[in-house]
Amino acid sequence: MKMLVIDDSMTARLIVKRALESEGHTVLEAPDGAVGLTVLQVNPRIDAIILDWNMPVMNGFDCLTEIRSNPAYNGIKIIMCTTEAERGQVVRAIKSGANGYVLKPFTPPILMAAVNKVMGTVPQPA
Amino acid sequence: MSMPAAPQTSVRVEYMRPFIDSLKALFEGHLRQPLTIGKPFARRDARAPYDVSAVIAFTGTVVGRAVISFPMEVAQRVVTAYLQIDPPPPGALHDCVGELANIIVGRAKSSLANQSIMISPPTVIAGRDYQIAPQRGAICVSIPITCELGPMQFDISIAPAGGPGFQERCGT
Repeated sequence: MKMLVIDDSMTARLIVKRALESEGHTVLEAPDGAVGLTVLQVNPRIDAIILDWNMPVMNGFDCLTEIRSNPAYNGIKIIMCTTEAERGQVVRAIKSGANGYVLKPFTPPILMAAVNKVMGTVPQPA
Repeated sequence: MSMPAAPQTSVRVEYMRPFIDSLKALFEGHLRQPLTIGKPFARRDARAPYDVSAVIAFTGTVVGRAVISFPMEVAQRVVTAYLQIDPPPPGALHDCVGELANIIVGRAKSSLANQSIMISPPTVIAGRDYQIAPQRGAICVSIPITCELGPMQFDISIAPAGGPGFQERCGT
């Protein structure tokens, strides 16, 4: 599957990218919501987006709202990636079209559990 | 006739505890690094204690700054432990120290349940003999911390927005 990771932290993108690639996924990256939307326009056949909440330029919630306002992206699953601070906002994100969330800091197995749950996929055997 | 509000005479424990709990959650829960938390002290010197510092400001019903500082070699060990990549990729150190600070303050923010707080993106500073001014009107409380990766220090200056400054007393 093709995944897009939108996070202003290179560290966070690195951790997510490594976990997803280890499961055989192709990963694109963007450092904020605005760039993420541009990447999405050029690569519309994205299966899922791992979307950080607190970012400069365009935050994760605004990016989520933009994506969900475009019917062309209806099939894309979105997992919000937040710190504990934004936990209270998760309900708002789910109501606005997010499919799941994962709290930072997370380990690769925690991330992959969230991805597999949202995608309805079965984890790859080790 | 109403009496003027008395200045606060100590650092409020309910402000500090969430940050200590958050540090423990990250280091002990995620990095498997038991922490030894030293005795907090009021710091008058604005000079940063170590080579690498991440600063996060918060505003809202309370205002302040949180700073976590590491010696360079300890920062590298912490980043290696967090990323599980040795050595970390070029450019990762600053970004990762900022991300860790963001996680620490973010978790603490959620514990300050009765406060409405916004936090800034982290700013990471590296070098020698640089200064980080504490929040105006608040004393800076420093908490020395050690773990197997080495020493670090967490500084917090926090005060109610618009309230009287804290008087300098420590050892809460």
